[in-house]
Amino acid sequence: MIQVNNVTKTFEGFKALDGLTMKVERGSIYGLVGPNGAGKSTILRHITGVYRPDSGSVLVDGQSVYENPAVKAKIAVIPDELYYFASASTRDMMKFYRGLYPRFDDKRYQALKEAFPEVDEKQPIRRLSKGMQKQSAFWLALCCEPDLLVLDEPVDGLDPVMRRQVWSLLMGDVAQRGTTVLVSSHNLRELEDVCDHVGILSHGKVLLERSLTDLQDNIVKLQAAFAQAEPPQLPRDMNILHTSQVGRVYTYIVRGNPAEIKSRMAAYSPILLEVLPLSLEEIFIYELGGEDYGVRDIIL
Amino acid sequence: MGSATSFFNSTLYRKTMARFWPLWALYGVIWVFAVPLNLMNCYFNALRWGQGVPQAQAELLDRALELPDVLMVGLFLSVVCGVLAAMAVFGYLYNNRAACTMHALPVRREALFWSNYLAGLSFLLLPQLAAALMGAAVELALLSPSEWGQALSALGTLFLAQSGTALFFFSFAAFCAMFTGHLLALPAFYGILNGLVISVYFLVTSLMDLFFFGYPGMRADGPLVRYLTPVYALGEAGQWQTAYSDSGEALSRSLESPGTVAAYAAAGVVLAVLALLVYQRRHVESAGDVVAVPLVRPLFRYGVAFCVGLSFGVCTAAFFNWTEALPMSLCVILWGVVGCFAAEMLLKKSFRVLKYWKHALAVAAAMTLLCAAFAMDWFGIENKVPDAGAVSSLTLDLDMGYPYDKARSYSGEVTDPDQIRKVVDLHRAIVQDKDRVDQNSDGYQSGEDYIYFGVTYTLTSGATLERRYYSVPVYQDERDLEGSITWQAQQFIQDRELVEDQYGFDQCEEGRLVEAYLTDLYQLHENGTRLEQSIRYLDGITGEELEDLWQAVRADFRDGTIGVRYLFEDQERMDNTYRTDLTFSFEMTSLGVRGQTVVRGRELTITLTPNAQRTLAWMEEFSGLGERYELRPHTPSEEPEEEEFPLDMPMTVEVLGPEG
Repeated sequence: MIQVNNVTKTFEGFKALDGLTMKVERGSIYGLVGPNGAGKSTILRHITGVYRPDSGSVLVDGQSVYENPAVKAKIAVIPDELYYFASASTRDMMKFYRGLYPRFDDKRYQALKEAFPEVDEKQPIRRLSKGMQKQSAFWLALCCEPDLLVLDEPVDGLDPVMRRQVWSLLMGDVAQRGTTVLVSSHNLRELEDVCDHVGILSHGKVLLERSLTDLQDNIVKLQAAFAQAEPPQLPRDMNILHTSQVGRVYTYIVRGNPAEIKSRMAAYSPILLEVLPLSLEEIFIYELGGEDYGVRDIIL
Repeated sequence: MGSATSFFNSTLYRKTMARFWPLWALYGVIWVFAVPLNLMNCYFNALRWGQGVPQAQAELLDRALELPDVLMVGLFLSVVCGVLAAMAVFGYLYNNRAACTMHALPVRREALFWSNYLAGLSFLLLPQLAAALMGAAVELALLSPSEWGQALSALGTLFLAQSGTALFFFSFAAFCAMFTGHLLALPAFYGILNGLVISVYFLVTSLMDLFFFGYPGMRADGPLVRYLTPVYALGEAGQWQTAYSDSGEALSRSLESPGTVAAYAAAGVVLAVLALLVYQRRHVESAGDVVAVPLVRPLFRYGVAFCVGLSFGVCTAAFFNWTEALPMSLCVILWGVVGCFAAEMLLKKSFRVLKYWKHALAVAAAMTLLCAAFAMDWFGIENKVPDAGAVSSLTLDLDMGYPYDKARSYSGEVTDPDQIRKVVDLHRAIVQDKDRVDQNSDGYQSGEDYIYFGVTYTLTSGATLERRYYSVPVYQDERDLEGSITWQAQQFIQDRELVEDQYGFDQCEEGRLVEAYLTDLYQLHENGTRLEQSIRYLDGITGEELEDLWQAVRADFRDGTIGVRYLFEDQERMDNTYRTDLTFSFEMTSLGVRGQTVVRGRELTITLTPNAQRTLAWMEEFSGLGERYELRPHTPSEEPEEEEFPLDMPMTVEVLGPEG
C-alpha cells in the first residue's frame, strides 16, 4: 500500500529524513515508533502528500502521492495537532469533507453518532474537550472510508473506554474493508495490542521494520542464576544488548533466535534459566540503546 | 463532490465565502451606503425640503453623474480590504496545523489557490456588483428615461474602475502572501512593496542630498516612481474629470486615465498567475517563517539592510548635523550592518545572529562602496553643468538682491539663449568655486552677502537636470572680477528685461487697477511733527489719476530710476532707495475649471527711489507728498530722534477721504 523509497528531507540544514525507506502492506496496521525528533511526523506528512521530498519517492498504491488528488482522496489523516475552521461544528466539517472526499458516507456518519454519543455535532469543535475533539476527528475520518488511515498519536487524550471503542472501530474497518492503518505513537503498550507490523525510526531512518512476531522472535530476555559467584564469560558472538543483576540472578537481553540462545546458555549449567516474553517497549528501548539512545542512569 | 476541473473546487470556494462573511458583508454595507443609499438620500432629501419631483430628479442626476468621485474612497477601500481579504483566504498558509490539514486534502495546489483567490476576489467584487445593481435600480426607478443613459454610464464607470482597482490590490496582496509564512508579515510586506519604489527613490535622493553640493534634495517623482507606486498612479488615474463649455455647461465626464486603470487590472491578473507559480514551489513547512521562499531570503536580508542603512543613516547624520563625508558614511554603514542583523533575526527567528557576520560584512562593504562613490563623486554629479547649447529651456529661481519688493527673487522659465548662457555661466562659476562656496555658506563674514540659486534645465535630449544652491556667498570685492560668482550674479540683477519680467508689469495690465497704497512712511502733522505710518492708502484720486501713477512708475522703470536691483545692502543701495514701498492692487478676471468667472487679486510692490522723478512728481501733485506725508529714507541721519517717537507710540493708519 505504501512504499517509501530513500526519502530525504532537510529543514534549514537539519536532516529530518535521511534516506528513509519503508513499506506498509495493504490491510495491515503498521506502528511507527521512534524517539522524539526521529522523523515520524515528517514521514507521515510525506505519506499524506503535505511535504515534498527533497529526494526519493513516496508511493501509495503505486502512485506518487504529492499533488495527486486521486491518491489523496483514498487517505484520511488524523494529525497530532487537530485543525478545524474557527467556530465550525462537527456537522460543518462533515459538509466540508463530504464535498472533498468522493467516498464520504453520509449513512456512516449517522451510524457513527452512536459510537460517539458525547460529541454534540452542532457544537463548535473548539468548545469541545481535547478528547471529544479527537472523537470528532475519528468520526469524520472514518466517514471518508479511506483505504489508508494515517494517525499521529491518535488516542492521545481519549479515556480508556473510548480508546477501546476507537481501536475496535479501526480494526473493524481493517477486517471488513481492508483498510491500511499507519499509526505513529509513543504508547507502545497499546501499539503492541493492535499492530501487526512495526517500524522503528531513529535519526531520520528506519532502524528496523518487521512484523511484531518477527520482532519478538529476534530478541530474547533470559534470566539465569549460576552456582558459582561470578557468572561465566559468555562468548563474544552472542549479541548481548543489555545485562543486569539482582542478587545471583542475571538478566540478559540478547538478539537472536530464542531457542538457539537458550540452548547455548544451557551449556553453562545454570541453576536457573528462564526465557521471558519481551514487550514492544523493551524491544524499543534495547534496540535504540545501540543507537546511543538508551535509558541513562542519571544521578542528580 | 470535488469539482470536475482541477483548477477550482466549489466546496472550498463556498466554505471560504461562508467563513469570512463578516468581511465582505461589511465591505458591501459601505458600498450600499456609497451608491444606492447615497442616491436615494439625495432624491428624498430634495423632496423633504419641499422641492418638486423635477428638481429632486435634477439633483439626483447631478449626484449620479458625480458618483465616480467615490473612486478616491474606493481606492482606499481597495488598498485596505485587498490585503484583509488576502489575509483571510490565504491565512491557512501561516499556521502549521492549518497548512498541513489543507494540503492533505485531495485537492491540487492550483485548485486550492484559485478557489481561495476567487473567493477573496469575490469578497470585493460581489458586494460592489450588488451595490451597483441596487444603484442602477434606484436610478431606473427615480430618474426619467431620458436620463438613464448618462446616469448608468457614470455608475458603470464607477463599478468597472473600482473593480479594476480592487482586482489589482487583491492580486498584489495575494502575490505578497505567497512570499511569507507569517500572517502579520503579509500586511507589512504589502505596505512596504506598495511604497517601495517611492521610498527607495526618496532615500537615495536624501543620501545624495547629503553628499552632493547642489543636489536638489529629497524628492520622489517621475513616471517610474508614479507607475511603480500603485496608489499614486491609480489615485491620479481615478480622478473623475468634467469638461465644461465657456458658459459653464458640463460637456462630458470621464476618468482621468481609464487606460491606466485597465493596465493595473491587467497587471493584477499577471500578479495572480505569478502568485500561483510561487505557490506551486512553496514548501508547506515554511509556515511561520517571515520569508517563505528561500530564493527571496537574500533579497530580503540585503534589501532591509540597504533601506535601514539609508533611512536611519540619513536621519542620524541629519540629527547630529554631520555634513562631512566620513561621519555620514559611517552612519550609513553602521545602520546598514544593524539592518542586516535585524533582517537575519527575522529570518532565523532568533536574536543570536552574530554568527552570520559574513552577511553583515558584505553589507558593510557594499555600503562603503556606495558612500565612496558618492563622496568621491565617481559619477561627476556635483560638477555636472550642461553646455548652453544643449539646453532648450530652463526654470530659474534666483535671488535678485535688494530692495525687498516684488522683484526680490526671480522665478520663471527662461528660453532666451543669451539668458540661458548667463544661467549656465553662473552655475559653472558656482561649481568651479564650490569648495569656497560650501565652506563659507554657513557663517557670515564681513563683505559677504548670500544669494539663492536654483535651476532646472530641460535639455534638447528631453532629459532634465536640477540643481539648488541655497546659500551662495557673494563678495563685494569681487564685484568687478569677471567670471566670479559675484560678477555673474551682478549681470543677472542688472538685466532689466529679467527684472521687468519679475515685476510682472505686463501681466498686471491684463487686470483692472483698483487702488494703490504706500507702506513704511512718515505722516506729517500741522505742528511740524511726524509719526511713523505703516500703511497709507492713496484714496481720493480718480481712476485716471491712478492710471497716471502707474504709467509714471513704468516710465521711471524704463528710465532706470526705479526698480534698480542691488546685490549688496551697502551704502549705494541705502542712498538710492527709500524704505517706503508703493503697492498697486489689481483685480484679475479669469475662467475657472468649470467655466465660471473667477476674480482674484494681484499686487505689484515696488520700492520707491529718490531718482524716480515722474513717480515722485505725481505723488507730490495728487497725494500730498511733502505736505501730508514723507517717504522714509534708509540714511540714519535723516531718521527722527528716538526721544521724539517713543517705541510704545501706536502706529497709525490714515485713510484719506475725498477731502484729502
